This record gives sequence, structure tokens and C-alpha cells, in this order.
Amino acid sequence: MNGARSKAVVLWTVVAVNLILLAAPTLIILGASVTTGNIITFPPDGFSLKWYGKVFGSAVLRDAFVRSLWVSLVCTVIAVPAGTLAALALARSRIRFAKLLQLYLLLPFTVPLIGAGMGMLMLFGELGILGELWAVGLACCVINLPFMIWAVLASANALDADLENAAANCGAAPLHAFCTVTLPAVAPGIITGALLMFVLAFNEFLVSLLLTDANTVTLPVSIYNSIRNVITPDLAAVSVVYILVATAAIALLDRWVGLEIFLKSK
Amino acid sequence: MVAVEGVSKTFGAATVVAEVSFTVAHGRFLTILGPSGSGKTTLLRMIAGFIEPTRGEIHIHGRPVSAVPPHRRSIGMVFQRLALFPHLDAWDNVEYPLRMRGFDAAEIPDRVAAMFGIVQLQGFERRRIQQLSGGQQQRVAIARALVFEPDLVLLDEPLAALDRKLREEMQLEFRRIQQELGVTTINVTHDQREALVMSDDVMVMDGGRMQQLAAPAQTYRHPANAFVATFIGVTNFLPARVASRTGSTLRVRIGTLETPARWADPQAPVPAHDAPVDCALRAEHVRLSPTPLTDTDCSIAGKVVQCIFEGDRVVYEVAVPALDRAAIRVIDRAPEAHLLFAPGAEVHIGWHARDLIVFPR
Repeated sequence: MNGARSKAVVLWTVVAVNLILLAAPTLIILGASVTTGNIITFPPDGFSLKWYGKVFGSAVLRDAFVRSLWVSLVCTVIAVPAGTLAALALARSRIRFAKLLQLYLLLPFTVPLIGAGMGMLMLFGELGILGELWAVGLACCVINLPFMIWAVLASANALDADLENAAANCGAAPLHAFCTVTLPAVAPGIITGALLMFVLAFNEFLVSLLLTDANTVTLPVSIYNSIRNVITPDLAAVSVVYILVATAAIALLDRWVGLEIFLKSK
Repeated sequence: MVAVEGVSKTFGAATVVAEVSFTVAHGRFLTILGPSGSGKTTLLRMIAGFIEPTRGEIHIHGRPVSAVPPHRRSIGMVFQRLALFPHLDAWDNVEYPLRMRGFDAAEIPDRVAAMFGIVQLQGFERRRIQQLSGGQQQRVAIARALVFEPDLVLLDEPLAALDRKLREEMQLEFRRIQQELGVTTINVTHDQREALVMSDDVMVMDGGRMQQLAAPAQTYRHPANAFVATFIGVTNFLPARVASRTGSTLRVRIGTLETPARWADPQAPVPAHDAPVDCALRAEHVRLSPTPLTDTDCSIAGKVVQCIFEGDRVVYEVAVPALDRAAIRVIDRAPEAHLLFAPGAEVHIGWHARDLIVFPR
């Protein structure tokens, strides 16, 4: 075997193994969700969509799903202005201690989720907002905000530093320049960040587990509660719904801004 | 008309622009030429209004503009990296200043279309910025800066990033547009060729100070000081002492050579005998010959150290023992008429007294 050929074989083997490992859980869940049996198995026992029917018929799961959507919405609505302005400040203004500030804003990544969750449990209890659904959205926003900031930073860092000066030169007053030039120019980053925040909040489990009660349980927590009893194929069906939501988000992202933004951050 | 009066800018302890004053008459093209760090960009940004002068005042059309924010000044600017709006296409970029400045909506399309004609970019109106080549993006940026008929246009080295051929093309192109529209323009560059090619006037800056303000030919032929002489053109610098002076004739001693020379500034007092001075000698003013020269004011022997053939000219480096072994750069502009001297060749160099310019040290 010559060098180039053996290199190609090794490379393709690694790629194939990676692809299989990445896709395996999804494929297994997808298979398990269409089984005709009453327990999760792979390969599935025959083919039926009865578990999907059960999922969509279940008021508990449906309510949890709606609550999760609401939590994601609250999280995104808070994260978009907060993350965008923070990222623009970091990218554009010469601020003292910019590095320190950046570190501080990325802090949520370094704190273990369980720690952050406990902290918020106590804080929210003290504030008397524990048990409110929007508070769960706020919590999701806090722990995931670095993603929003990163997404906008990637866009903002690629911009010409003179962009706002150019707008001023064209006759735009500062606020007008910000709205007509700066914001649209970083829109790809904002859209990316918003979709990320939405999907992350939709999937968020650990912190939600601590902050929700029987009346405010979100979908991931609801699934977890079911798993503790018995693992039935309807959970696989819910997981597939999840995968579809995530796929839809990525498809939207690709359609609106293109996926290259992930590949060209600073 | 633009008048800059005693403008200075200090950042902390550092003085970036010091006491600069000049005026640009209506319709003129001024280039501010200087190395990086000379304060030229800071000066330009003060005129644009992005930086506030520490001292001094800038007048545009007779009005002081210190208190006027950039968006209320009637200045078009082409930025170093163009700063085109990435979310807008070419047409919308050019239209933007008209909308911001409240032009009559009915006449906007005509004005934008006319501008696309002037910069010769018809057919590219609906292209996205990223879909345009470097030269086309330049044209959009120029159109955006000119479309609202500003009192003044500023160019912040926008051509620096282009490759040489395109850069030279755009220099002539911008000059054509500028003359067609008769718009007052201030250009900033570190490229001496660009300054000489494009401008009505050249202002040379160094260390935050204005060194000379004159027509291009004047700056080239009569540099005001040693810095201007080195910065424009390829110049040999030779430390010397005043040997003698009688009336307007000055003789200097360089190494063991004593030779007639020209005092740079006829108005300034000539230094005393034996005072240290600097002599500037342009590389293309040095003659090169295999035999001693008779039609120049001096002729000395040297040895070719290096010979670089550049097509339209040959650049030599000649070591001259009589001049403290200084390596003299010589540009031969008609190489086909001459021999090519290989390294090691024994040659004679000489020059006219008027080309050896003496500056006080």
C-alpha cells in the first residue's frame, strides 16, 4: 500500500466511525419510537406510529411542551437585547477592563449547572418568584447567555471598525446609525444567537428540574419524571419530536444566515 | 474651502499632531503624505469630526466646525477599509446618504443612477457588496462619498490595499472624477507616487508636524528639509561640512571630496565655515560612467557593489572610498543606452552642483 492510499484509508475510517457515533443515538431513538411493542427495544418490533399518537394525546406531555415553548420564548426575548448589547460593547467600544468583563460575562460556563441552579433556587425563593414559569426562562437565559454573546461577537468582530463613522459621514445621527447600520450588520449573529438560545432553553433540564414544580414542569423534566417510573416507547417518540425541533432550528438558521457563521468566528 | 488653524492633538503625554495650519482652496486636491505614525490620519479624522482637536480650529466654508458633530458636517469620506454597509447592496449603499440627509425622494433614483454612471459601475447596482471585486467596491465607496455633493471629500488611504496595477488605475480614475465634479478633496497616503500623481498640492508630515506644503513638482525638486528629501524619491544622504562660501556659491567637504553644492533654502542664513550639514543627492541625479566624467561638477571613482535590473531602470549601489566608503545609490533611467555594470566593476560617478542640496543639521 502506498502512502497516499493508506492515508486516505485511515482518514475515511476515522470519518466513518465519527459519523456513526454521532448519528447512532438519533437512529436508535428514531427506530425505538416506531416499535409496536410496549418496551423500548432496538431494533424495533415491527412498525407503528401508535406511540406518537399516545404522545400527542397526552395532556401532561402536551402541556409540558407548551410550557417549554413559553420558557424558550421568555429566555430568547431577554437574551437577544442583553446579549447583543453586551457583545457590541465588547467588540466596538474601548472599555477599561474589557478582558475582565468578557471573562465575567462568560462566567456562567465555568460554574457547574447544579451550582448555578441551587443559587437561583435560593435567590428566586428569596424574591418570591419561585414557581413562576417566566423565572425558569430567565434562569435559562442567565446560564446560556455566553452563547448569545459569542454569536453576536463573531458577527461584530468581522465588521469594519469605521462602519458607524461611515454612517455618521452619510448624515445619520448616532441612534439612527445604530438602528440602520450596526444592528442590521450584526443581524446574522443575532439570529444565530436567538435560535441557539431558543433551542438550549427548550432542552434545558438540570436547572429547570430545580426551579419547576408540578404546575410548571417543562418537557425535559416531564420526560425525566416518566423515566423514573418506566421507560416506554412514547419517550422515544417525544425525543424524536425534540430532534425535529432542533433540525427545524438549524434549517431556519441555514436559510436565514447560512451556516458559515459557525465556521468563521474570531 | 477648508482652513485648518493651529490644530494640535495630544493623547496623554503623546503629541500626535502639533500646530498644523493650512488651507485648501475650493476644488483643489490636497494630499497629506507621511510615514505611518506621522499624525496624518489623526489630522484627517479631526477634519471629519471623529476626533476632537486638543487645540486649534477647523473651518469649512468659513464656518468653525468644532461644535458640529460628524453627521452634520457636509463631508464625504472614503475609508481605509471602505466601511461599506454589508447588509445593503451597491445601490442602497449609495442611496443611504441621500435618505439620511433628507433629499427629495423623487430625485434620489436619478442622483444614484447618475453616480453609478460617473464611477462607471452600471449593471452592478443590485450586487451585494461581497459579490463585487476590490476595484468595484472602491467605486461604490467613492460613489457613496460623492453622491450628496459634499463640501469636502476625505480619502483615508483607500487605495493602499489594492494591488499595484489596480491602485494606479484607481488613482487616475479618482482624479478624473474629482476634476469632473470639482469637489475639494483631502487625501491621506504614505505612497509618495500616489501623492505626486494625484494632487494639486502635497503636504508632507512627520512627527505630527507639517514639513512642507507645495505643488508636487516643487516638493520633489525643492524639498524644504532633509526629511522631505529622504521621504520623496530615492535619496542619498551624506554628512558633510561647509568648506567655503562666496556669495551664493557654497562648497562642502564630504569625506575627502570638496565640491560645489546648493543651499536648500536661499532665504535661510548659510551656516558658518566648518559647520556640520547634510547633503541630499537624488539617485537619478548621479551619473555613472566607465571613464572619468567631464561634463559634471565632480567626478569620483567607485566600485559597483550591487546592480538591480528593473526593466525601465537599473538601480546600482556604488561604494566610493573618497566619500568615507559611503554606498551611493544610482538610478540609471536609460539602461538600453548604456553598458550594464556588473558588481565589482570600476566606475566613475559625478553630479551637478545644483543637484547636491545642502540642509542645516
